[in-house]
Amino acid sequence: MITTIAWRNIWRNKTRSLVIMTSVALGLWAGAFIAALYWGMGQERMRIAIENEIAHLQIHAPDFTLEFARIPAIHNATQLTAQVAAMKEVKAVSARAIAMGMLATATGSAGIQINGIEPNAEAATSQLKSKLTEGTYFESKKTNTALIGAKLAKKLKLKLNSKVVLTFQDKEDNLVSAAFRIEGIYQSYNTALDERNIYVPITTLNNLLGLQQQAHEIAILLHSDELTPVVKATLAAQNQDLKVQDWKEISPETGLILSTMGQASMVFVVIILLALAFGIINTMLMAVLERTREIGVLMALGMNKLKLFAMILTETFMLVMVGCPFGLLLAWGVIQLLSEKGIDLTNIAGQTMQDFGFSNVIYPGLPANQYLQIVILVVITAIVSAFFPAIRALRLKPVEAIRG
Amino acid sequence: MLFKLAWRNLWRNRSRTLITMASVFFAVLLAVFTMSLQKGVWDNLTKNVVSFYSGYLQIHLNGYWNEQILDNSFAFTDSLNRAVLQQPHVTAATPRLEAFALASGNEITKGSMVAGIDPEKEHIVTALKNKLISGSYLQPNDRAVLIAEGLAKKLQLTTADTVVLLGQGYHGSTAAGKYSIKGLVKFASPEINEAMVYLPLPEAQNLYGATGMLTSLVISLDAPQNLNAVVTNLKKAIGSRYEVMPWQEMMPEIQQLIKTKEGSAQIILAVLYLLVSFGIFGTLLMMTAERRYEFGMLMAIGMKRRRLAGVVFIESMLVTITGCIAAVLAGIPLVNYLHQHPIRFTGQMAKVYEDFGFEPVLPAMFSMEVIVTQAAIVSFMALLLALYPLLHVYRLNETEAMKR
Amino acid sequence: MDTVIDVHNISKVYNPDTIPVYAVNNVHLHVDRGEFTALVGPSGSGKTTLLNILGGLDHPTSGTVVINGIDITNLSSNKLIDFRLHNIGFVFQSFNLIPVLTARENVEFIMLLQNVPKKERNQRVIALLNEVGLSDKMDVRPAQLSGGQQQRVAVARALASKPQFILADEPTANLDSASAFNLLDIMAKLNREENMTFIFSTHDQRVIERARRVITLVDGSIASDTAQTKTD
Repeated sequence: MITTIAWRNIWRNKTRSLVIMTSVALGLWAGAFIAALYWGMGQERMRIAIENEIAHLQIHAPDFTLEFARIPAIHNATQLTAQVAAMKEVKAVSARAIAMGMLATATGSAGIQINGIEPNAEAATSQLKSKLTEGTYFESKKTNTALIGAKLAKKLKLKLNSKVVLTFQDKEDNLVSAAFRIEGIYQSYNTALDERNIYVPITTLNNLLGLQQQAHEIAILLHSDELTPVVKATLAAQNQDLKVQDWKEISPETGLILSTMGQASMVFVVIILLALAFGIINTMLMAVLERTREIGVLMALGMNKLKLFAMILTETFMLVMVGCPFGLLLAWGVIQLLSEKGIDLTNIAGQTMQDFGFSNVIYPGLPANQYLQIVILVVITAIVSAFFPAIRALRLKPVEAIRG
Repeated sequence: MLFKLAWRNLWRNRSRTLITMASVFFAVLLAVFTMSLQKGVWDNLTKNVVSFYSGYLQIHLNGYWNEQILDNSFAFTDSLNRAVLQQPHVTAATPRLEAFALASGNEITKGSMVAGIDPEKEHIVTALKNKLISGSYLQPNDRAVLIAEGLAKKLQLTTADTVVLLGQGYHGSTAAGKYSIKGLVKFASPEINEAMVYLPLPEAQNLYGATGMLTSLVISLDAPQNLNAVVTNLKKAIGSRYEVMPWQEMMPEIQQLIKTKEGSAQIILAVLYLLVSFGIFGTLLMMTAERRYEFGMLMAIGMKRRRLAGVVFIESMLVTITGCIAAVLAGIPLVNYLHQHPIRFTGQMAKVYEDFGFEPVLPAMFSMEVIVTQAAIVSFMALLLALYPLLHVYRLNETEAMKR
Repeated sequence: MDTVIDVHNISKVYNPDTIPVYAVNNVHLHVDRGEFTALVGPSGSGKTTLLNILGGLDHPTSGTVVINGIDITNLSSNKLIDFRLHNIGFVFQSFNLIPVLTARENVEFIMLLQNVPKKERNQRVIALLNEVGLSDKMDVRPAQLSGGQQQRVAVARALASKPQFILADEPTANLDSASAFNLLDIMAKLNREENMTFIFSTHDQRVIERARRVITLVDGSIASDTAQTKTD
């Protein structure tokens, strides 16, 4: 009967019920939308990090570090690359030779990382070819051509066909200098990386380093991120003398960005929930005051406080349960729509997002379990908010309530 | 008379008045809270980032920033120093001579950034003394260096060892010097931690053959919000021979990161406004529904709609203004508290922040401007929403309304 | 004859610190089972306050209230709620049915609070609504019933808990004469056939004539207490 009363009370004051249901729906929508905004940004960052920078997995020699001096190499690199490329989970593989050194022009110099690459493999792994904004992608017949980032080019006033001298140490620790011509200028989402990385053919770099058929880094792009742990385990087992790392280990800052976003979105979801709570408290409190007399009669007739409390709580709970599906539908619809169309932040943000390895358009998205989390949070908030009006109802005195 | 009626109406149903007031109160408080937290977080980020190295503001020879070479240095004259220090809000001017050099230990060589500094003044900008992890701090006339911990590790050097610096000096001369390491400094940013070598300014000028020259002058301010004023005044005072660069121009990516975040913050604020205005609307809607009979009766006894609307609007105004003032009064200590005792996060997030050299806190920004702006925006929304009851009064049919 | 109400020396004072107002002043009252008693007096004479105290809705400032042998003067509000549920039936001037429940549900509701089994509930609801002549309006909500019909549902609701007595505060005040007589007939019949005790406040002369005992309150005190012979 308490349920019956609660249910019929909902339909009695339709305005009020609509207000609460809409509040719940809006609260749910707002919470989900903000979570989706951040989740979308995080996913985009992750996607870019994987597809344009790191790839899913990288293999290095166990004591690999980016040193100015000789970097430990993978000896059977060619063989291993072919073997990895044959795996069905693998989309693309790129073997890279790396040297840390200095780039000098007539007027200036900068510390850089020289990446020796096989052009086609690199294009497939990190989309290097599509990042090209000027010049050509290793089409020159000459072997001593290089690609540099737009930011570095600007900083050192380099243009296509400019001559640069690269200085680094070979495998015997002798200082080697070699002249290269700029064949192309590229720009990626991550200008910090653009400023530091230059690309040359792997054979040229290996010759200068005194290496043969070797590489320092093998980057592996898989068909999907879910395959990462499996392939990592397989490769690690096959190559116990090498270090196999996934993108999370290689780029902890991507992890930092993802978790900062998680944290920030939680803070805002909490604020949204607070706003929802106040809305519900206000409206239910009004409902209780409006029904002072009726509650007084129920108490006079012998309805005890526990049952009264349960009645008001049940009423709120039902309102919330009706509001939730609408909110979910709204949230899902808006997120779905925007996940295709995207929110373009260029007007607000200008170049920024690109400078930090984000794209300028956010595609919000939310996995199912997060929807569930938000629904649970909203329901808990709503029920807790209903406590205050319910307690207020308990404090009514029947005599005064009936008289009023 | 209308005012008196409105005033009495508010007192007659105190619970209802309080509830409506509460909805405005919480709306303002939440908006103030959100905005102060947002602004505080970015202010804090800026403070952290500029104290890494750049400071809030630098003066260079015109053109230096685009081409950071020693040939673009300038003479540090007394008249320049005086002209700078005379500006209001300027508290200190810290000179630097910065250049690239190859740093070598016994076997290993690495690219490094040499900074000639005034040890005491440098401490004001970057708190360099606090970063000392072994050895002792530089004295102005030392012939010794402080080197970054990461760089020292790479060079396999430690305190009291000798480091050789080799680079290109002023006007193409060769710069070469041998220095004993007086101490190690540790930086949170790996990029800086693996690059910096600090020399006392006179010794650096000596090494690079640039006597009396500087590449940059870092200006300290009494408060960050005076930045723009100082930039304008300095530009006027020292003329076009120099470039005056605020941090936003030196680190456009950080500036734009903050803009982006403010962009997403605006989306969040918009969502919050939507939710709180719905909360206020809900209360007004219920208030209106509850008072149908009363309105009908007043009209039946001859009160003109215009006057009744006037009474209702005065009521809304009183409620909104009181709620707003209460929220501002409650917001000031709350925000101030969160400003002085920032929300501190713990666990994995905190560790990541510390690794990046940030204090793991979410400080709120205490600014009356933010508080007053938010209060104004929300009250404006509330007053706009208060038009709904007016509309209701104008459309009310008194005989219909009198039916219970 | 057993006693259902035994009230000693009760007073109810408002504003004891400033200008004391005695709503009920030093009242002794004794009511036996089966009485059909009217409480009369001008408005403001303390009828409603006295009824509220008898019904355990209000506490007296001093004195003791013993209902059915139990002293309820100092019971906690939660215990009082339970006490009312099992001992006292209420009929209010403005009916006060639960608007969202049908006539049947309004009556059933009380028994639900008492945890009466469903089968018995159903039987009693039908019997009670029959008794008040509303067997054809069982599934109608209060808003669709006339004032007299609503008040008859209220009487059925009051009876549903099998109370020791029924308190009715101005039960006919909001009714037209026909409905008022009809209601009184029903109350009188219940009193006669089931020995149900009724105490009702009223200032309606037609109602007073039907009572067998008339207590007159003036300024919170009992001015007269007389038995009348039945006129019906």
